[in-house]
Amino acid sequence: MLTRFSDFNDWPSFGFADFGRPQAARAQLHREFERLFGEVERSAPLASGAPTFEDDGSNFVLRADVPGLAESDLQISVAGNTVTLRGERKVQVPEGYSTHRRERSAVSFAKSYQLPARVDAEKVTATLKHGVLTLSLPKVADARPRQITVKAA
Amino acid sequence: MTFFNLNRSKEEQPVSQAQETTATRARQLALPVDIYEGTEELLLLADLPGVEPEGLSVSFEASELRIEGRRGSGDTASVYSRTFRVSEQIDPAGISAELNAGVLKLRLAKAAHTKPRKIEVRAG
Repeated sequence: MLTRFSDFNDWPSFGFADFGRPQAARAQLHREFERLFGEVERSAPLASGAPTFEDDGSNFVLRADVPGLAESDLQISVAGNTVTLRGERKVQVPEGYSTHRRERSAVSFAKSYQLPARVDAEKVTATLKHGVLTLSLPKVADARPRQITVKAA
Repeated sequence: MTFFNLNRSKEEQPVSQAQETTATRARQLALPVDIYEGTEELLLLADLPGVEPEGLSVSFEASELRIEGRRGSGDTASVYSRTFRVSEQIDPAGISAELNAGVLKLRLAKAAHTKPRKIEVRAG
């Protein structure tokens, strides 16, 4: 059973600004998440469509929407319990075309997240599929849950 | 001149009590689009991260262009959807769609008679 830890609210915008959500509740949630996954670096504005983190026991799983980004547009680094994502998407008007509507934004982000436990940087895997980045971050052995057998007295 | 008008009526339909209690209504996701116009076609780009080609539907009927994408399945499913009214004359046979890295690229060829024509001026 996967446990959803948090939805971050500070992911760069690939979509619309999220006007509907009450700011106070959002700030409160953000503080809660900040406690679990403290952010140590930020270069992008607050926006919606944030990455999600899950803990399946032996791995943390991070998923982030990165539509239009190729593998080469993404840089991922892991050190200790900190994971850093960098990425860039440029939006260009095709040559000879005029613009009628422009909602997709150019994006440049560099964000670091602190995980609640150390991960084995050698065994981290990253996949990019249909515009979604999935990072699987295996915990170091002593951070994994252990099954304790109860013995009859 | 605007050829596309966002049809908000469908998006802003209030959720009825019945729909809420059945919990079958999937979460709506923001679907940002860019629309460009060239001499031969209209070009629409849309961000639909997480949507597979099988989960995407694009329809064009009675000047209405509808984009619908389904992401995930079961309890965690969510949907993208938007409808546009296209006032430019479009050749329905000349619509092509391509989904790559979570970005939909939709080409809508203009109907032949709306393309700009070059008029030769002959010497009198």
